[in-house]
Amino acid sequence: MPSPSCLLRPVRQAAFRPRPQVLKRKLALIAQTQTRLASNVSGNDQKFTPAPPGEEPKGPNEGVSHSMHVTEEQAAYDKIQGDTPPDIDGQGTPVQEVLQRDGVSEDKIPQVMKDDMQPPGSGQKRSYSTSARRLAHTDMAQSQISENGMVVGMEYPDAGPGHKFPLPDVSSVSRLDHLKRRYDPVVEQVTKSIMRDGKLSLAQKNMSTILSILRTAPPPQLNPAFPGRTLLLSDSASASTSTPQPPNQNPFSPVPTPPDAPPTHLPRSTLPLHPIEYLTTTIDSIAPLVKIRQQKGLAGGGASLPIPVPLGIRQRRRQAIQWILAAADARKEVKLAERVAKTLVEIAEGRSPVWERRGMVHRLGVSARSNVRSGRGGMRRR
Amino acid sequence: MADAAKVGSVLALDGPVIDQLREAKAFKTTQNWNLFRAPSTLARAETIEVAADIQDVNDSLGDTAGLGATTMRRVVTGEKASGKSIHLLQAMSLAYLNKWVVVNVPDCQEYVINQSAYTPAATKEGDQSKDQMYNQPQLAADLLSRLAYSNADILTKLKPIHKHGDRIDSRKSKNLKDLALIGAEDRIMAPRVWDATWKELTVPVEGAKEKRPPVMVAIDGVNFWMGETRYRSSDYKVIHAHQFTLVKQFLDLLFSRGQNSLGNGGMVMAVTTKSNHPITPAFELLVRQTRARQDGVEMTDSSFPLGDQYAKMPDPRVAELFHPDTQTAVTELKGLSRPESKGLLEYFAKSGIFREAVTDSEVAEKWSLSGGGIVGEMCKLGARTRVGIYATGPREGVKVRV
Repeated sequence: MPSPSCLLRPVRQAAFRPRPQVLKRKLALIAQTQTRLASNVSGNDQKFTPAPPGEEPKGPNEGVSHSMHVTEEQAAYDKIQGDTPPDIDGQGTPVQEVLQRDGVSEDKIPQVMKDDMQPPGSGQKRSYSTSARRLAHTDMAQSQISENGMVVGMEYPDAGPGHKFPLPDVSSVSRLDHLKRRYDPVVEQVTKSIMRDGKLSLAQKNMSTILSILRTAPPPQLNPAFPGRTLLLSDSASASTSTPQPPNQNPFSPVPTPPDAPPTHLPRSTLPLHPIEYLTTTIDSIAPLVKIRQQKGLAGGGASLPIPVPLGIRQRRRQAIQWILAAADARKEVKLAERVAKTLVEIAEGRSPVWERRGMVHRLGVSARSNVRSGRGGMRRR
Repeated sequence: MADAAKVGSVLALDGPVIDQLREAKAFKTTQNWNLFRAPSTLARAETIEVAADIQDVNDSLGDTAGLGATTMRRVVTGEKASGKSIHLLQAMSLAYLNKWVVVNVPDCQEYVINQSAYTPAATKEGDQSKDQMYNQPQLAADLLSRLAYSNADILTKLKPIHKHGDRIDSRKSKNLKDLALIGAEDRIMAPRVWDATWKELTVPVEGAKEKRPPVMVAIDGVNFWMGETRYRSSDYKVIHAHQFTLVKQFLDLLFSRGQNSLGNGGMVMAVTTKSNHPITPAFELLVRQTRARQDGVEMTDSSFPLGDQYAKMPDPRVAELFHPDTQTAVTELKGLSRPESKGLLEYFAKSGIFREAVTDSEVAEKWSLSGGGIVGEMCKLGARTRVGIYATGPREGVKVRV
């Protein structure tokens, strides 16, 4: 609401009508000011001419009769205008809403409007869920919403909600259809570890020979001298104590994820018939869980501090493969494939010194477990 | 193995037969034995044919030595890995089971690559115009050794009946095995001892009551003998394979040149090899022509195979092998039939190597993938390992075939 101080300036937005009393006084003051200005423009002195007799010079706020407080004045204005604020934006209420609100009877509503109106109870049925993982059946339920076939929010009903084109059917596509992932991951890792000078096909031939030898090997027996050297099988003593964990379908659930190297569900006696499982089980059993990092100078007196560092599944397997290849080179057979295969069989039967190497790493890791925090962080405390 | 109802089933070999085959060097590393504990072979339609031929030879033999003796002559061809060497092994097994004497040449390549000693053979009088022939003593010794040890049971019961010259007769060998071992142990004597042993086995004494057993001659890789060798004469001229006495002897027998035949009956089976083989256009053309003639295609037909007009002249020594009097039959080994391939895959499945269910669609798939049932390819497919079974893991393994 324009205040009385703006009376000197021309009023552009005359959206209200002030009280007649105030208006008269304002008009008188405007006339007075205009005569004063006109006399100045006509070249008279710049000196202030005295006011005509009978009237003293008044300031901007002095001509107005302040019979009321500003807030009272505001309240009076509001009463005139009504309690609802004016619709300054210019958007009118839709007629349908007005009719609905006022409860106008149906015979008064034009037919065209009646045709466009939606039956009560329909309207925005769109789910405002922002979760990206929606199950298929809820999508189906949402798409079958209204009885007269109006599906709100689905401009492209062939596609799922929020999509313009239907998503491709990926149920028939498997990992093997990807050209660069077409081999078993463990087999691929071992093959590339065997490869020399970039001769991949030769390494693959050797790998195939290794798997053939594993196939014709007898089932691996437990070594009674070293009962701790067991394979990662679901029927072995170590696995029976742990509770079986279900495969984790929902990545958001609080259920802990299963281990990277799960125990093989095949019985020990049938391992040679599944040479890839035999290989995977052996490598995962012999793989160390940690590596020992030596941090220089932290142990005091210039000595380095051993810090155990956890390894991921691929790192563990790589370490196991390196140990296996080193142990294989110590054997007397001429062919590489025979050496590696017989080393694997020895490890599976618990007779290999590679187990001792793994045990050493784990023992050192356990004894140095308190150093885990020492290596972390940037600045070293002095 | 001779039973027609057994086509498509995999039959195990008997223990004594396995020992004999091993002594004869019939087992090769290219024959898919290494995945199985005991050697077994698939009985094919061609196996039944060989068994029938052996039976025919047995039936034709009369009461006295050499009476009614027939010599069967076969050349077996086929694609790579179509089962030719195994076919030869099956023929040898059948011969051993029928108490025949088996002479095996496991690898013809040894005779032509100049890795064995060779000596000029004495030319006979009146043969000045003919080629200089050569002996290969070590190869003759190896031949005698295989013969002696693989046929030990039969040869110890046969006594020498011919005269072979002082050097050999003075040793007074009690039986044919001892005779053969003279040459096996003494390399210099080997060519003469070979001639003597061969004469004992294939030249009967007319009217003798004691019958000698028929002889099976098995030759693997005969296309190596159809061209020039890596040997050179004293004039530094290349020696042709047919100038070697052993090679010439076997080829004369195979293509019935001269009077060469098995006097006590028997069979000569030669098998070609398609892996690492020499280029022998003349031999290949003649094989095609023989097969065309067998199929009934006349020489005047437009579809009769003719040589390339603009190629080099074919090897004359090879060209004259298939003369009109030859009775050598050429067999081509093709792919397996569906029942045979099913039997083979079932064998692999029962051995625990093939992990899929052996249904008709699976058999059809493997049959197609192996190029129409080529045995070697089908064995590779049956023994294949691909992806393992993966439960869970960061590499999202998928359960596929093992």
